[in-house]
Amino acid sequence: MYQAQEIWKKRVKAYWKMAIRYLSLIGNSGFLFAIYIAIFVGSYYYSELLKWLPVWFPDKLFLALVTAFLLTNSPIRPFVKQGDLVFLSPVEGKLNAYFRASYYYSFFIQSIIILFVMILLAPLYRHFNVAGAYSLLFIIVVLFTSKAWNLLVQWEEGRLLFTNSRLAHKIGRFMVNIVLTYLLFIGAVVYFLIAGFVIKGLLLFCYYQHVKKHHSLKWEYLIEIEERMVMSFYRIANMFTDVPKLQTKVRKRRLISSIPNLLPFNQNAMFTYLYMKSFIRANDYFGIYVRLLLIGIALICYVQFPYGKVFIALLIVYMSGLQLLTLWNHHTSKIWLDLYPIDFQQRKKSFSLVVFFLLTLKTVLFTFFTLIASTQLIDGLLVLGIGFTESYFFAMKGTYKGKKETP
Amino acid sequence: MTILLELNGVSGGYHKGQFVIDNLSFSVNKGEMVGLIGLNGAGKSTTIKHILGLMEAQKGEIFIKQKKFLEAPNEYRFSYSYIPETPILYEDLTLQEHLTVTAMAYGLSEAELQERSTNLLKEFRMEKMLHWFPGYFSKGMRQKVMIMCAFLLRPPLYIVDEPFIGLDPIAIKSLLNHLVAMKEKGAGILMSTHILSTAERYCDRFIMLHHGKIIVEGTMKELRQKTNMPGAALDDIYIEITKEG
Repeated sequence: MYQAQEIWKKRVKAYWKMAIRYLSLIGNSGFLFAIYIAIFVGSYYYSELLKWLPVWFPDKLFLALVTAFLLTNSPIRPFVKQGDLVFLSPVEGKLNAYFRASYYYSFFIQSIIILFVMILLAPLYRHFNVAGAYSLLFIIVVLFTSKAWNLLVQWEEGRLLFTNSRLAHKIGRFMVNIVLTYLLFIGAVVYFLIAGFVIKGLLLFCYYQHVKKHHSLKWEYLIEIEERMVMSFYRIANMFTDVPKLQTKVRKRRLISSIPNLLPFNQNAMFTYLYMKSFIRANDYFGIYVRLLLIGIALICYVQFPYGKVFIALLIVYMSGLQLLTLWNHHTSKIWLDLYPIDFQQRKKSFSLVVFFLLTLKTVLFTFFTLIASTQLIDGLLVLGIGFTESYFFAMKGTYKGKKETP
Repeated sequence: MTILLELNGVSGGYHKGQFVIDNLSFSVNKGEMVGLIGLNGAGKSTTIKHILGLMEAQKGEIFIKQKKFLEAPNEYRFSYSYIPETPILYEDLTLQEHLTVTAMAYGLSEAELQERSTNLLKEFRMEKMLHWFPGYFSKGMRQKVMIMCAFLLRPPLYIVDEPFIGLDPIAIKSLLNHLVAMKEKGAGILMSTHILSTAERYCDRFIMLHHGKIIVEGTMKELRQKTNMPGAALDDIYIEITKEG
C-alpha cells in the first residue's frame, strides 16, 4: 500500500533526524575525546593482550559465542507507535510492504554491527588461525546470510502469545546459531555449513510458516519492542546529555539509598537529600559512577607507562564529572522545586556539594589504588592533587548550571 | 475579617499584552473557603500560577498576608500549600520520602512529621504503600500523595486545583473533612473545581471566571439575586451565565 510506505519513510526520517541531533551533541561533548583516547590506549593493550593469551585459550568457542549472540538477538525495528493499535492494526493485511521495509532496514543496521564487531575481533581470529581457516570475507558473508534468517524467524516468534515460549524459541535458535558459527570458526568442511543452512531453511518453511498461520501479529508486543529499541538509544545518549523523553527506570537499591537518611533533618539539607536519592536510584547515574570507578581501578592496576595511572585516574574523574552534571536537569521539570521556600542559591549549593562529594570520593579511591600499584609516590600525590582540583572545578561548574534565576 | 489572599486588578498571560486573565480582583479571608469556578480554558490555572508566584502579573498586584511575592519570596511561599490538578511526583522517591522531603523543605521537625504523617496515612489508607514508588501508584493514589504533602504543612492558605478527579468516595470525603477542619482552625482555602454540587455544599463564596474575567461573584444567596434565579442550584446558575450569545 502506497500510503503505508509513506508513513514508514516519514517515521524513519523523523527518527534519524532526532538521532543525528543527539549524535552531534555526543560528538561535541568532551566525552567523545575521552573515548578516542580510550581506543588509542585500548588498541595498544589489545595487541599486548593477544601476546599474553595462552595457547589453550578457547578462541574459536569465544568467537562462536559472540557471533551466535549477535545473530540470535535479531529484533526487527517495527517503527510502530501507540496510536497504530487503533489506526493501523485494522489494515494489517495490507502492511506487508511496511514491515518488509522494516526488515531491510533492520538487516542493514544489524549487519553493520556484525561488520564492526568482526573488524574488532579480526586480530584475535588471525592470531590463532594461520592456515586452513576460512577467509574473513567468507565468514562475514555467512554471518550476514544467517542474520537475514534470524530476523525473519524472530519476527515470527513475536507472534507467540507467551514470553516464556518466545524465550524458549530464542534459546533453541541460539543453539542452532552457535553450532553454525562454531563450525564456521573451526574451519569445518563447507558441506557442514550447507547442511546447517538447509536445516535453517527447513525450520523456516515448515515450522515457522505454521506459527505464522496459527498466530496473529501481536501489536502490543511490537510497540513494546519499538519502545525498548528507542529507549536503548536514549539511554546511550543520556550518558552524554540530558534526554527529556527517557522514561527513567527507578532502582530501589535499598541499602545504599538509605545513606542520605543520615543527613541532618532541616531545610538546608533538603536538596542534598533529594539529589543524593536521585543519584542512587534514577537513570543509572549510580551504575555508571560505579562502572567507571571499577574500570578506573582495573586500569590503574594494569597500566605501566610513565604517568599512565595519573592520566587514567584524571580521565575517569573527568568523565564522571561530565555525567554527574546532568543530574541537575533531572528534576527541573518539577514545579515543586520552584515552590519550596528555599533560596535558589541553596539549591545550587546543595547540588555542588553532591557533585564535589562524589568526585572527591572517587579521587581518594583512585589515589589509594595508585599508591598500592605504583612504585612512585609522586603518582599518588598527583592523582590526589589534580583529582581534587578537578572535583572542585566540576562542583563550581555545577553552581553555574541553571542560569535561570528564580527570585 | 482578616484578608489572607488579595488580588488587585491582576492581568497576565503568556505573551505581552495578551491577557489570559484580565483585571481580576478578589480576596480570600481567614476561615473561608472560596470556589473558583470556570469552564475549561477560563483562566483558573493561570490565576493559580500567578498566585503561586510562578507567573508575574503584567498589571495589578497580589498579596498573601499583605506581602507581595518579590518582597520576600520564601516567606510568601511558606504561607501557602498547593494541591496541583495533575499529581507531580518524584518518580525516584517512595511515598515516605515524599513526606520527608516536604517536611524538610518547610522546616518541620522530625516529631511533627512523624505525628502528622501517621494520621494522614491512616486517614487516606496509604500505610501499606509507605515504601512504594510512584510507578506502582494509581491516579488516585498519586493524588493522595499530593494531598498528604499539602496537609503535612499548616499554612494559613490552601490553594487546591481540581482535587477530586481520580479519588475514591472515601478519599473525597477525607479531603473535604480536612479542608473543613483547616478552615475551622482559621485557614483560608481557594479551590478550583468543576464538581459544582460539592462546591455548592462546601464553599462559602464563589468566583466565576469566564474568558479570563470575573463575571459574577458572591455567596449562593448573592449569586441567586444577581442572576435573578431564586432557588437555583450552582450548576444552573453556572450554565445560565456562561451561555454564549
